[in-house]
Amino acid sequence: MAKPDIKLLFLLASVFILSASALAYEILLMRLFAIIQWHHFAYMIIGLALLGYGVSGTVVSLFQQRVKEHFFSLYVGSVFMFSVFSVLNFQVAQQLPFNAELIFWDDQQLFLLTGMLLLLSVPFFFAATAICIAFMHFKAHLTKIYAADLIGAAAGSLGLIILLFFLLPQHALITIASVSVFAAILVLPSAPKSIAKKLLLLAIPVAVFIGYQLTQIKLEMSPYKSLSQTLKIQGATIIHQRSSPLGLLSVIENNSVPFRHAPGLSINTDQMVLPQLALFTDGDSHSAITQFPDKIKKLSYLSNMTSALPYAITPIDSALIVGGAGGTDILQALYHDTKSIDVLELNKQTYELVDKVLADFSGSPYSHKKVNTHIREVRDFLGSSDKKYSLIQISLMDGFNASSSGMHSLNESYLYTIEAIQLYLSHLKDNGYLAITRWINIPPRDSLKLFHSMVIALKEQGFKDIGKRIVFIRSWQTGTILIKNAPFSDNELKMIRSFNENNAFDSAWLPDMRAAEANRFNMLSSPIFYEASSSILSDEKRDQFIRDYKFDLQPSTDNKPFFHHFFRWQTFSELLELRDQGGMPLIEWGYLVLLATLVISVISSFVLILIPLIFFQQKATNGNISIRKINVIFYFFMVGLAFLMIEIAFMQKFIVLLHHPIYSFAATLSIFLLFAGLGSHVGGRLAAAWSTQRVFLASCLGIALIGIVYLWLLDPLFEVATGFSLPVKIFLSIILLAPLAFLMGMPFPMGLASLSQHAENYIPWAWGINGCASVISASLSTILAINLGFNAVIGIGLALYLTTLVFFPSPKLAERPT
Amino acid sequence: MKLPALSKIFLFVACQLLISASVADDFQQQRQDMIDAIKQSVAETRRHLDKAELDPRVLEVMSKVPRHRFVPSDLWPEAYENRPLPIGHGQTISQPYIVALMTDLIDTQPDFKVLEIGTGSAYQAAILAELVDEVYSIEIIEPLGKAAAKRIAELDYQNIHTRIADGYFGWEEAGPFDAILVTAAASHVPPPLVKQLKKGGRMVIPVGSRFMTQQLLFVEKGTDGKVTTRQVLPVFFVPLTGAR
Repeated sequence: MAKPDIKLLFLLASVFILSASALAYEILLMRLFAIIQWHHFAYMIIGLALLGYGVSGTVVSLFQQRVKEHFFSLYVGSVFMFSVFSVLNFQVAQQLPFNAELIFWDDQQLFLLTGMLLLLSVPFFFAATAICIAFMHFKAHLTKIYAADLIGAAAGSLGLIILLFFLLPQHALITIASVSVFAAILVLPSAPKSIAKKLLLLAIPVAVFIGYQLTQIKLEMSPYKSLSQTLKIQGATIIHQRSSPLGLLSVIENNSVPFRHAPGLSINTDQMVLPQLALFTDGDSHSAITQFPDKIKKLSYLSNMTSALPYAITPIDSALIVGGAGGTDILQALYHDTKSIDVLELNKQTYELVDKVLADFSGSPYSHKKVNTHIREVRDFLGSSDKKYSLIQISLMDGFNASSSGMHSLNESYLYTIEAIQLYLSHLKDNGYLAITRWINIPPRDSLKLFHSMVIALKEQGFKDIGKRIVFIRSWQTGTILIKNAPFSDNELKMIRSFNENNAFDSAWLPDMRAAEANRFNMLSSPIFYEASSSILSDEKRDQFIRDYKFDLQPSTDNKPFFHHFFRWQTFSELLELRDQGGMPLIEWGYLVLLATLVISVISSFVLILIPLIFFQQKATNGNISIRKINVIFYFFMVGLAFLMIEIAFMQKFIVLLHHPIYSFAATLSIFLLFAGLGSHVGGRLAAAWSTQRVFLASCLGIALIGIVYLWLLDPLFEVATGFSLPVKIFLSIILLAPLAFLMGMPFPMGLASLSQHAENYIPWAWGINGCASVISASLSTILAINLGFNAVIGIGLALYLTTLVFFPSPKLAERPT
Repeated sequence: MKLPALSKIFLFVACQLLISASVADDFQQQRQDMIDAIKQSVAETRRHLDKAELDPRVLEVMSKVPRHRFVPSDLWPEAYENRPLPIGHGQTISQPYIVALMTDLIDTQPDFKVLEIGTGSAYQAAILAELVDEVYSIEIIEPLGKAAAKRIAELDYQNIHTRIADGYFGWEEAGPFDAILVTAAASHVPPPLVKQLKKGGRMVIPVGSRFMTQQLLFVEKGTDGKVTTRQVLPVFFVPLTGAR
């Protein structure tokens, strides 16, 4: 084995830092774009920018000889370029006046979109190029470099989450760029002195640039976001800002033009909304912090909203409020004299802002003597509690813009799945209510999907008279659905009718409702809410109705938790025809953007993979290639697809165990990458004793076996573990994920190791193929999960791993030298 | 060949006039194309709107008002396309089809007094000014409000009254109004506006993002003072298959 010309340890440390920086940058871009933009196109831009990995493989393939000759300069140069362009290109990209809503009206927007994509792919290209040439230069240590790459990525994902608790996202960007510079500096002592000196000089302008950016960088939020619009109004100022991985919170005060946020307020009320401060999350999702009044009766307008329905039916003695919404739901419960209120707030910073920092204004509603606040996720909280409530209240968890534009259509939500609804029902007292309030969209979408989910949840509980246990009312803006474990009594129905009459709310479904009662105050061209509710409740009509409805109303489950997905092809083509006549807003863009991302990444990958192939055909005349190209393509492509599919699907499955969206993301991703890195390292050692092919074979069979066992085991196991504490759950996650990830870390480096032995000039190509497959896999996994569920994604991932058994890039299967 | 100075001036003025005339003709043609596009959209959504065509007075006015004067000059080439356009400060000028629908929905009469919340570019106010007696328009964003007031003065719309203020409270001293158009987003229908609406009056609020109107909320105060709302989709779309 040839001795490396720089200390391997320094190189591994360098790859570790670079990989950590690149993954942290990728995750941070999601955060940054959530703030400056608010559309699915952010997903597309970042998703496709990762094709920079594929491009690096292709480019290095084409210039292998030069790369070998100038390793140090290229490696250090690439790292520095990553440091500079990660900041510079983001700065340029956020200046581009891209407006997703104009994309089908204005051709220029497509150019801007492409421009953003190309700009953001540059840093990934340089990071991937550095790692790729490290593979080439230290081909005897492939498994160690890959291990450093994966373990670095694990550290990057975890590190960024921690960093985001302390720094604003834009400052986290500068930190990442600064840290990445050390990846270059680390390899300098090993470089020839003449080159090292020159490269060290290069570090000076890089450091100066990053230092300058630290003083300059600020986020340019789209002028169409709610926060930007609010700040245009005279007198509006940001008085507090907090940032965490859960979002950028901004509190706005305006003494000239006070805020009056009261969505769903009855049109009949003449009560004035109390003075408020506006609270924005990521510049959108507007909610309000209301001034605590000297007399509680001044909050009476809170009783004129559809969400106040349960309080109008009967006195509530104990309520669980999911998401305090800046305190509005708490004030509503206090106004109605609720004796005991448990509040669940996911973001501790929201609680601290409202209750501590703005205590004089808000009156600290989270700390009111009747209120117990828990910084917990609802399913996590209920899973470890036996407490039963008179009311479980979930109101308007997302902003209207997000809801109406289908912004969350790609996001998973475990709040409204059938399993979640059944959990809420199990924590209701005998006559308790589960009340969920959503925005009303026309034509109806999410409120009907929720109604359908609630009906199926009750049905699965074994209830027969479901129509008697559910009530649905609506204003023009919000709809509230109530369910119970018992039928609604005549007296309760009388109170509901009276509440509706006083507030000009419509009944969409009441157990004893007549058709004439529908569509009276907030008129639609047909009583679609009543008709849809009746059909969903009818065993005979339900399937036909769901099949004929132009939006997907199938209930979401923990296996397919895409509550916000309503897309149907037939509807899309119809609405596209009607785009000039107002059809555009009804199109569900999220799914289309996802598909477009997949199609573009497949086409780009095809080109990127084929370019070196043409080059290799010319090289093949040298007769030094002993591995079939088709094997290289299929093997590295399938490994790339399968790795990410299984990683993504298991990350989602573990959310059901860990619940908290950030902790579960950070924990599962870092566990996965860390143990995959260790697997790569150990795999290298095992291969020295056995052979690369045997290690690969054992790892693939192991992955398939564990994967199949987990498909059966995880769901019941997670049910048992529901009540465990978070540290125990994280420990359990490590125990469960470690062996799978450990084995998944082996196939890719084993394939590379085989190439290094038999066709080393294929290494960068294989790296590029794997990179392309990873980009495709990210969007493909989500599409498969939306349509088939995460279990199916795991099944397909396992099948792909097994298929690679046929394609391992070994000369045994190709032109083995005689 | 040398021309005398006077001839040069004459030639220059003649060219300018020719260009102006051809541009004016061009805008006139574009306006007519815009009206045709609106008519076609209305015809295709007539079953949904319960009418085969819009009030001809609305379309006539829209064929006269120079929409290009209400958008930044770099957007003049697109001024008459049936699409919303950005006008700065994060605001837009609505799609002509939506402007026509909203104006039609309030069923304007020559003696009407109309309140508009959200002046924006003042295009909607200009359309209303041609149809009703008095238009009162409130803008909350100061630079927009000032620019709109200047534009209104330049175009000599003497029956448009503007102010820069919080539209939530309406324009109490000028009320009550026969109709109210709320072109700026609101989290609820402001109670003061309901109060300032005459009995039998109508209020229209577009719901959705700046560039995509999801639905039109139509608030009606009956002669008995009872308030009801109607939600109108600006598109003929029936959510059940086979119902189209």
